[in-house]
Amino acid sequence: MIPEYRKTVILVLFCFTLSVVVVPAQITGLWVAQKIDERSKGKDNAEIMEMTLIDSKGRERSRSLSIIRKEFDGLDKLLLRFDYPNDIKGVSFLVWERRGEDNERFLYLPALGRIRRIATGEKDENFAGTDFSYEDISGPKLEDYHYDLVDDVVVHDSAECYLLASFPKELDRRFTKILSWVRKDNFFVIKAEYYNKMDRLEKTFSASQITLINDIWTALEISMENHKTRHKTISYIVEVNYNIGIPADSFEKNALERPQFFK
Amino acid sequence: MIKRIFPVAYSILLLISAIPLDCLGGSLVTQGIYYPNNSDIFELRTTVIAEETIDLARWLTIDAECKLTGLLSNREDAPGTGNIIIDKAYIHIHFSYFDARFGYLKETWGKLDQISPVDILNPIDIASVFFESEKTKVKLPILMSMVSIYFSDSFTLELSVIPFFEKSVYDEMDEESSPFNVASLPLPVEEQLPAKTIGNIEFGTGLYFTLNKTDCSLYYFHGFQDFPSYLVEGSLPPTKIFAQYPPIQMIGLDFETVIDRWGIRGECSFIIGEGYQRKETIDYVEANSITSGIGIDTRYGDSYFDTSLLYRKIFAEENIEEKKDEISITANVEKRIAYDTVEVDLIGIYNIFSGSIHGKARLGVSPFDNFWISLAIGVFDSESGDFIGRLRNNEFYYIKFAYSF
Repeated sequence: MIPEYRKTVILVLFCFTLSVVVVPAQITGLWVAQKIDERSKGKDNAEIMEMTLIDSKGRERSRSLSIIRKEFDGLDKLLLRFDYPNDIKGVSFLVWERRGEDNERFLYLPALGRIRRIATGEKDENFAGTDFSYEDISGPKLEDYHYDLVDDVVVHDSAECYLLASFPKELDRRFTKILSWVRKDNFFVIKAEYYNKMDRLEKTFSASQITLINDIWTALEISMENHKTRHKTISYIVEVNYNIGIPADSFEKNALERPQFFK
Repeated sequence: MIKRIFPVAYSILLLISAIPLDCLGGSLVTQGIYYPNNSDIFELRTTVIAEETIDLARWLTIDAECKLTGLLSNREDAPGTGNIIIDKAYIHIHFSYFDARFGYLKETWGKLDQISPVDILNPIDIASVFFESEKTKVKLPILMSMVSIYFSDSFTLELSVIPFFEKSVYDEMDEESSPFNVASLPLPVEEQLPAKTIGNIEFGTGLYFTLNKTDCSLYYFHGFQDFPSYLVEGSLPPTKIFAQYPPIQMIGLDFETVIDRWGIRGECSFIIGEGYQRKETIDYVEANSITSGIGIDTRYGDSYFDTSLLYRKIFAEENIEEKKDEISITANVEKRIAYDTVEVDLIGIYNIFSGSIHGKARLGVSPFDNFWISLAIGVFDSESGDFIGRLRNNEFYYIKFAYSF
């Protein structure tokens, strides 16, 4: 039996050690961004997502997507396929994350009948008529931005957050500043504001229903609202599974043309 | 293909369009086309496509698509007709390193957006070139087996075998009176299709590889020309014209890469043995030709732009109807508005040497999910006898309703 006081001492020492090793003397924007980037997403995941697109008059449209992702040596590959609406069913998008260079992106349009390599310059463009951009879908690259920690204690939705400002290194980006509210306990971005070149707020991202699924923090509902067009896209995760051993060949180019992801 | 079955086909088509559609996938498209300069022709084309994909295992899929088309027109010799075709029906076996498809297939070669010189595996429907924005809808399905071997993700070998030759058509209905039937001939035509023999099996191979983020392909095709060449033979005066499909070989290559916001794509095809009509006689010569093209494309916001420059040279010493050197420019601008619920497309093809021009403008509106209404106008302007020139009276307007289910 370990005496109670020794347990306390061990615990205090352990916490002290953790604080020395994990938390830097001065928390910086880059450190917070790194923690977001390092946040566990699992070795792979498969999800079914439904999107509701709401225009300024309140009219709704739907999108349904299947998404698979897998980590290869610390870099992600992601494959996304539309299941609804029927006129774009089968349209598929593949992203290979690359270290220190632009990601490779491929698009399969059944109407074209072939796989097409697409330009990375399209990362700010709206993805398939939603308010999300290609970059929102495939995830931003850590090295593409400069970071500033605006505030290390802000409260949003009753959660303590870091307020992080991200500035793109490339000059011709659509958004010149992104303010992100990052939860301190799990480094989840629960809100983000996108400012355009005029420094006006153009889009707001928010994440809710943040839940632990297979020990991985997951936002079951995310939304992106465009204040300029008063259009909003709400995305719901209908089903998600992590660490299920998705085969590596599901992320090859030819997988875009295959009728199903994996079984 | 079942021809002249109107009104039966049209009745079936309308019947299918009336049944509950939640049990199968596909589309229902009705298109009204008016040709003001071509005898005031009006056409109503309606197509129902029913499709089904059955995943039998991770490695085995059956994909089938049946197309039923009806045409009503005020052409005197063809007031109505119908078609039932298997648009796609194949077994797909897919493993990590091996992929095979057997059945009625449509396969695409090439990288250029508008005109692809190497894309010759499937025959095409000329009318659809002008009415369809989807490249696969222009192609006609053919019985084919295609095997791909993936040596790595950046190196693939593909082999295709087409046991029976299928010709391209000027119109899916293959009507003599179709506005797109540019082969107006003074005498009856006798088709001399390649015999269905082992020696006439068409085949092709493609080698795909990626070098430093540039996707490249090499192709070889051995088969027959898809459109006929015409000649008269025998005693004079001739009583009929023979439509022949000369054997050809094609060696092709293409590439595709991206630089920042730009996609750069190129293609080159060298065709051996194609038939070219002689001038002033109904006869043809077999000659070689080279066609190469380079294209760029980019997207800014909701706008997409692509353009390409194509050069073709025919190596024929005789006087032929076609120009031996041709340079064409294609351009396409697409604008998507209101979160992809409104589309505007502008397409133009201009032949620098002949001055021929084709332009098409389309406005598409989607009032709700899965439903599109399109309005389009197509114009042809040419003084020459080239392909666009032969369509000069075919200016068209159309309205199309498309519902996907």
